Amino acid sequence: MIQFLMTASVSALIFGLLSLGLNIQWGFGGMVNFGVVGFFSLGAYGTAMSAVTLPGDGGSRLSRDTFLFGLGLPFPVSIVIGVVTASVVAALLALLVLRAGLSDDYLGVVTLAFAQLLWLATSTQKGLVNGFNGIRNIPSPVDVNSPNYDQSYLLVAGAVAIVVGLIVWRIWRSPFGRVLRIVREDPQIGEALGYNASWHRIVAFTLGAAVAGLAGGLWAGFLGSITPNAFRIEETLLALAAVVVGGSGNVIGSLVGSFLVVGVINQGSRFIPWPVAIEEYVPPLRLILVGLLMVLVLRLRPAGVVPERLVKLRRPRSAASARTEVHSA
Amino acid sequence: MLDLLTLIGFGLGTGALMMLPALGLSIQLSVDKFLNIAHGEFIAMGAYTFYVLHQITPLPQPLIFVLVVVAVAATGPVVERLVFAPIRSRSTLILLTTSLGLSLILQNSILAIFGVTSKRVEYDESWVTPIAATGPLRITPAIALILAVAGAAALSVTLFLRLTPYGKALRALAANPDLAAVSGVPVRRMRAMTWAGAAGLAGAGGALLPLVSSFTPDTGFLLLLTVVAGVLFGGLGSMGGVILGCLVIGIAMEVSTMWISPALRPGVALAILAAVLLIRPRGLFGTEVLK
Repeated sequence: MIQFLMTASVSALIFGLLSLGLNIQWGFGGMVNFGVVGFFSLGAYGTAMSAVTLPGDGGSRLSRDTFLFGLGLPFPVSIVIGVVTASVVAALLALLVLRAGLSDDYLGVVTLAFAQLLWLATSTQKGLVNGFNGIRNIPSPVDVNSPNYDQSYLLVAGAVAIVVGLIVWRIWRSPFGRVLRIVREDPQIGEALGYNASWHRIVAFTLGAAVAGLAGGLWAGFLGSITPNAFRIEETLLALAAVVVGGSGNVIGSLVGSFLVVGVINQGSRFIPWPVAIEEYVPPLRLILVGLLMVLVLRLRPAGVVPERLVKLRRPRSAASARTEVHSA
Repeated sequence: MLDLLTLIGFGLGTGALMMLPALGLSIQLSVDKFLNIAHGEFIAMGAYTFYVLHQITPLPQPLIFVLVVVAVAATGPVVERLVFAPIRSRSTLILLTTSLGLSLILQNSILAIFGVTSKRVEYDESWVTPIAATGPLRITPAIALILAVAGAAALSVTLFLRLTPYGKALRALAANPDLAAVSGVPVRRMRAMTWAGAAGLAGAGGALLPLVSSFTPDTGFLLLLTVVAGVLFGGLGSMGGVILGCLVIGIAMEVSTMWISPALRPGVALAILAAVLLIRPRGLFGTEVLK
């Protein structure tokens, strides 16, 4: 049981990071990303491909594994490569859509299509990243043979998550974050104040994808093997549900949402002893429940369980004594 | 290895099948200004309803087709009133995400009922034997039927929008909802009609799908991406653009299988979409108003 809790904690933590990445885009920047799993996948595969070593003869004939490459780099370098891969692709997609001044609908479709294609490419194209068989023997940053593997990994992932959380929070309070909030509420006001709205959104989108990619890299390192089926559209939907339910536009909301959606609904429901007759209906029913939760929260409490906090700012003394409420983290 | 002309023949069928949901999506998008991700589920509903009616009733297939279109069309306004009407004033972000949640609910409901294994409707040999008169295009009666239905639908939608008072009201609503409302356009009724039309057209596409392929619960969702590419390629609001966009993308997807794996076909649609967004974001014939 302790063992399970440890494993579940690592999963929840990594998923929390993924949601945080999405929250930077959705909550902070007001942009949709229906392909968040694609960036998660890019991070994971980027890390894995950089870290694994191919057997001497390319390994292809003996093990029937076919990779494009395997660099055999140390894990910290690999995960950086994974994060960079996810960021570069995100920047290109965001440039494509946002620079043209197109609305969110297009970004939603483009990201959704991107993730779907990436999944098709990684799963059906065997020579690329070994298709459905996936990549095995990915080195981990902590000693795999240690009996306390999960605990150690939890510490590593936890430390990374805290650092990332602090950085995101800091960015949110920075002038950049303030402009991002203005642009989110109304891009034209941002432009009128002299800020480049598209540029701010592209940077925020890339940042979010970088965090998602980091989560992917940590996930690959934790599991030691990854297959395309770990990166299906369901993950995007769960991450989106976590952000919607938890509360967009703040760091804590992502974590609360991840705990509720992933911890309670997705993992928790495994412990209910379902009668055999309905067992096969449980996975779709679980997703129906997640979908219902999303639709209902968006209708009844669009700010989520932990709403974005409003702080009161005092106007300069010369101005009227009225107080203005301004969005802030 | 199939030759180019045969693949173009296939592509015409693929494009025509996409055209039905695309016409619906184009109208709904013009009127509502948000993309309904759950539009793909109307396609899936059409295919599965057709499958069920075909299995349990002895009715002739044309009649089943009509029943399916009516049934799916009827769900459109219900979805609109239940799910989207209460949040219409909110941001696009919320509408879009809600539609994704709705898609999740519908798709998994189909999965729970029918299971993950693919379903197909059996047709006898004559349906898939190429018509001799079409020569090297090798168009089968199944594809010819899809082309005919799609063509008829495109023509009726265009005539409806141009010639009837309802069509005029719909175009007014798309151009300026407030102005339309004060001018006496029954906004609620027109929205219901939009959604009935959008769902019905998608359902028609779904009902024809069994003619050319088997289907799974996520078929509609996957098809949506290519449908969106077709709509945006031609340009939002232009019916001619939608027709051309779907045919071009359908043919491009099939012809691409000469060089790339068929599994990556949707990638061709995405690549075309990306190129269009880069070069001409409004699409080929795109205008802001519904024509």
